[in-house]
Amino acid sequence: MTVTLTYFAQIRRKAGVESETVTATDGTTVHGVLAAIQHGAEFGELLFEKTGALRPVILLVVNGLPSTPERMLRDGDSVQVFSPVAGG
Amino acid sequence: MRIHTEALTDEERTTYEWQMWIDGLGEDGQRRLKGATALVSRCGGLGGPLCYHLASAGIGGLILAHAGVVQTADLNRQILMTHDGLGKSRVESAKRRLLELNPRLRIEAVPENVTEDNAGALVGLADIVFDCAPVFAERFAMNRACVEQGKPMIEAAMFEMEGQVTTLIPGKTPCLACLYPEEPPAWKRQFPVLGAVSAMAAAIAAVEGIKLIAGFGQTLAGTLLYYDSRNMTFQRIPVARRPGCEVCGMLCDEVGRAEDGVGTTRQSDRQERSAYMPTAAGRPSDTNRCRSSC
Repeated sequence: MTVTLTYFAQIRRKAGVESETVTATDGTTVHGVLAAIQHGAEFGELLFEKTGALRPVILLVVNGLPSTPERMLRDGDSVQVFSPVAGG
Repeated sequence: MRIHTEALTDEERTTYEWQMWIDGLGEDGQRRLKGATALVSRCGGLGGPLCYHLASAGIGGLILAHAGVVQTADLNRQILMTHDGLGKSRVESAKRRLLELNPRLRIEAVPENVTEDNAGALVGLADIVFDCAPVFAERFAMNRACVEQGKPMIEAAMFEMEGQVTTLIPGKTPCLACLYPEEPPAWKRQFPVLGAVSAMAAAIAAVEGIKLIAGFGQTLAGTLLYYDSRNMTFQRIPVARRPGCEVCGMLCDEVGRAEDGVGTTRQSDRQERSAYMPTAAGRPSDTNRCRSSC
């Protein structure tokens, strides 16, 4: 299957890309797809705890609706990955 | 919605005539604005323009909480600051600029950032809170105080060319801890930002607060509005309360309905509230705890 990942804020800066299309096995979870992405250690640290779990502060939106890391993806799904931001 | 209202003077009717023509706002909404007091945490790139919009809309009172002095690097976005004010108190600069626009505004300038120690007291002085702070510990402190006191908090944030705003109403919407269950480890106090981008978030947040106070329109309660000004796209993301949230999880849904979203501020309450005392501790309210029927 092919899914589109779109990154925001600090995640976008660490990824070096705003959006990318990835290929994965049908039914791979959101976590699985993100864990396979290679954009360097800082990118990984933004997303994942040392245990490998996705940080709870990361907002996942699949096809426009909030989702969970356990969500199994389908061909054509759009995954947006938001990192927390504050004011100033 | 129970909220303190104040009669308008002839000068105020003239000043706000054009906005009172707005369906749903009218003179009644304008009186509610005049009767409202907002706490704005930080009056920088986000809080500054937000305060300006609230002032121009005729809000009755502002409590500005921001420590420190004006620095050169502030001047790309902190439009309440001035070059002449470099090295001087931020809140005093903000107060002066706001009063130049609206001399009727009641302003309490608190030269402190919000902390766990003062959040209760500061939130207690306001009907509504605007979170414009760059530090998550500060945001969490306000969030907790707002939940405890049943006060709505307009949440605004930005990064580089992106921004987001949502309206948090205790018991009705997620609280900040629902959205961010822990302090983000990677968030830095200094980050890339364009002044106009933070001003976009500020204007949206101001409109949210004005609607909530005046009682018209549909707020961003339960919705995170996200924008990317690189391509000027906007997106509405539904957000929900997190079961078991350690901050708001004990609240029943019946508390803080959107139409009652603003904390009550009766004349007697206003008279009892003195100016902010730095050593005063906030007292949690037990009026919005979950009752046995929950």
